Amino acid sequence: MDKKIIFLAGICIFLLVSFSGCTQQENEMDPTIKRIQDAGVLKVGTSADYEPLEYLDENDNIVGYDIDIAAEIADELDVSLYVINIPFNMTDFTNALNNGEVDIVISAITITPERSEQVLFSNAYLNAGQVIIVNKTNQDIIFPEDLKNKTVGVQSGTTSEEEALKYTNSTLIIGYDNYMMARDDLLAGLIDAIIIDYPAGVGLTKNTDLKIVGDPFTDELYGIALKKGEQALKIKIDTVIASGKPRELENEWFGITD
Amino acid sequence: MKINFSLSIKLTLLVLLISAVVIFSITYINVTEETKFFENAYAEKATALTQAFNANILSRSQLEDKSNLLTYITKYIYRNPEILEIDINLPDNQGKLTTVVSSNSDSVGNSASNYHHSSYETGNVYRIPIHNGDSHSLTIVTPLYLSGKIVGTYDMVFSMNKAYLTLDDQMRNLIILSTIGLFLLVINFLYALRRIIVKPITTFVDATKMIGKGNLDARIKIDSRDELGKLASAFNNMTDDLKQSRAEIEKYSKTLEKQVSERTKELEESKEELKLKVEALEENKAAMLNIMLDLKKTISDLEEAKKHINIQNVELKAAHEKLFLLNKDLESKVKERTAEVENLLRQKDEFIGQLGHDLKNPLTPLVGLLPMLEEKEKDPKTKEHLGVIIRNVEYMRDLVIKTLQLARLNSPRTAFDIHDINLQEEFNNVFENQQILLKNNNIVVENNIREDIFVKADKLRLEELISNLLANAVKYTVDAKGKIIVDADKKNGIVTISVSDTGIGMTEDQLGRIFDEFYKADGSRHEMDSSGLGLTICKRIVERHGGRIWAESLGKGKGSTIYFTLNGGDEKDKE
Repeated sequence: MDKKIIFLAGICIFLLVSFSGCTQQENEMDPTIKRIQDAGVLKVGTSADYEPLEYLDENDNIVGYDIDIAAEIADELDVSLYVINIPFNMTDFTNALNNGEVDIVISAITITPERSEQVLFSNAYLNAGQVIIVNKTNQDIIFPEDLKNKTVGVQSGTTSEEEALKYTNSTLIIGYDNYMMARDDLLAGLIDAIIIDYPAGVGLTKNTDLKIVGDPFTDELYGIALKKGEQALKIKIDTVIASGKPRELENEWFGITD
Repeated sequence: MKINFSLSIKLTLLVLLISAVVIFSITYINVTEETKFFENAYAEKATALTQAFNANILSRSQLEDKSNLLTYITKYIYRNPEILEIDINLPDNQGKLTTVVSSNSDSVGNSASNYHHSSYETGNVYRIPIHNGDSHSLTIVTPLYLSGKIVGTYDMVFSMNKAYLTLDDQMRNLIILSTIGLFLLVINFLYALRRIIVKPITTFVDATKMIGKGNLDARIKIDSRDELGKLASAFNNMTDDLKQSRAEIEKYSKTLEKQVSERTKELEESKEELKLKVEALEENKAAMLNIMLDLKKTISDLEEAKKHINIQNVELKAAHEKLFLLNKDLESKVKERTAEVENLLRQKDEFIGQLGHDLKNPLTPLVGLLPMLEEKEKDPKTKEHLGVIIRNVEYMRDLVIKTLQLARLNSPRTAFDIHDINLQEEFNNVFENQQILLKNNNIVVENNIREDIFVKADKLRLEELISNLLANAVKYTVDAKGKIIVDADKKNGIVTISVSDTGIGMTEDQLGRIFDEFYKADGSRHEMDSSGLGLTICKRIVERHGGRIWAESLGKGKGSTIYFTLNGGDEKDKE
């Protein structure tokens, strides 16, 4: 009978090993992540003056697209979120990160080589560059160069207007007070395209027969700033970015703005 | 501890083990293949991306513009979310590859890994998959071409987490499906097992139990032709044999019981009998005791008597001796008297013989001469007297001869010459010799004796016997046309001969006396032709041959028959 027991035990061990192989856990813990998880809170620095990415709502709570992304990161780390308002200044941000006042800074910071020397950037989570909007049936306009001799609607006095001048004749550029009017004209076929920054463009095309053509043709790539050397945290954040969550939040946040 | 697994569980465990091994092996192979497939897919994507990336860098100056390059790679990563990191490595003054631009600013200034060096020198593309816990990544190291020349390298790190998430889902589904499959397999197997093996075995067990309880009518109905079917038929045969055996045993035990009961009954009966006997014996014992007492008394009496007897015995002995002496005396006296008698008898024989001869001798000339005188005598008177004399002389001679014969026959010294003689022949001879006598008396003779009858006898004496009988028969047959019949019969070696006549016959008184000496049937007759010794001689002859002679008659005038016996003879010895 002993043999039978050994036999059965053998089977059990075999099955256990085969299953446990699938769920092997990494036990190494990065000190920063450990510290954050021990504290149970992710401290986020932001300059809450850039609606809809980060701003104070009527109750003086800091909200916005960036804050939601920060919340996603906190979720990933399984901690709660604590947002600290820091006026936009790269040196202040760097100091806050370096002295541990904050763990990350998310405040629509464009990634540049100069800034990269001060802080460690996550991968870009948003490109707020200029995009072209056309009717869904339009197949002609794919690149900015295709806008030559086309009527383009822009909001007067914006970067969009400047970019439009690079590709088409100034007489064909129509300046609107707001993009709602430009959208109606585009849907009516009075203009060929609209140039607009990406977050606003997502909101404008929502629930219409309009589409954003390709990626932004100018680059305003926003990254999340970390203290230099925080590679483990960077990987965590990059994982959240790569998961496509930011793209989902774009639709939520960049609705019609007046 | 002892665990008893049923056959089903044992087999099920075995099947479960094998199925689990097979299914998990298949799953493992599947996952490995999937992983490879993913990695290949990413590698192709990476190759495409790097080619596109390469195409965008057209001049050395573009490489030198780090700001532009960083924007470019940042945007590139943004557009392709599965890319985690891009590093561009260029050789420094000493020709050593260092990271000049990276999406990860921490990497800038670091010297590149051996893969990069190898890729820089040989132009190879490396795929380096890294699996670290939940994170799965693939690093592709590629040489950087400018106008067909390798000027540096760059790497792209791809996240395969999303793919692996899908893969994990697939694996989970696969495992769930496998488990369900396994479960179904086991259930099916159990069902099949139950149908094919356990049910028949249970049938066997039930049947065995029934047989164990004594019900030999239990039969197993399994129609399959496999080993179980064969086993079932063998089992049924065994049950049949058992049943038969049991029937025989029952029969036998019934007989035994019957016998036992019979024996018991007999025993009880015997016991009863014994009891009775014992009782009887007890009674007998008492009686015996009495008898014994009597016996004791008797014995003491006997002892007493014995003493008397002993005394008498002594007296008897004395008397016996006296008797013995007396006996001896008597014996010697008897011997003396016997000798005297024998002597006297001999003297008598001698006397008779002498007398016969003395009488016969003077008669012979008389018998011879007197007929001659009668012939010559002329005087009728004298002739008549002579005739009387002749008759008397002849009678006398006959008387003398017969007396002599008788004397000889009476003498024990007369020897007989015994031979085997044919009886028929002998009679015929006698008839031949006496032909004249028969003719004169007008008597017919009838010989009924079979020719195969022989007797042991002295030939001459036998002739004399027959002649005498014949003569006697003729003498008493006075009627004309008389008849004499002779016959013989052999029985048990004894031949009985009869001579019958049709003569005057005899009374009972006469029958008892005819064989006496000088007896004549008709006392009034004193004829000269009969001596009265004929039948006496016959009797003597027969007796001397060891036979017997007697006469029978139905009465006066009805004829008479003389019977005599002789020992039978053998034909061989005839002469």
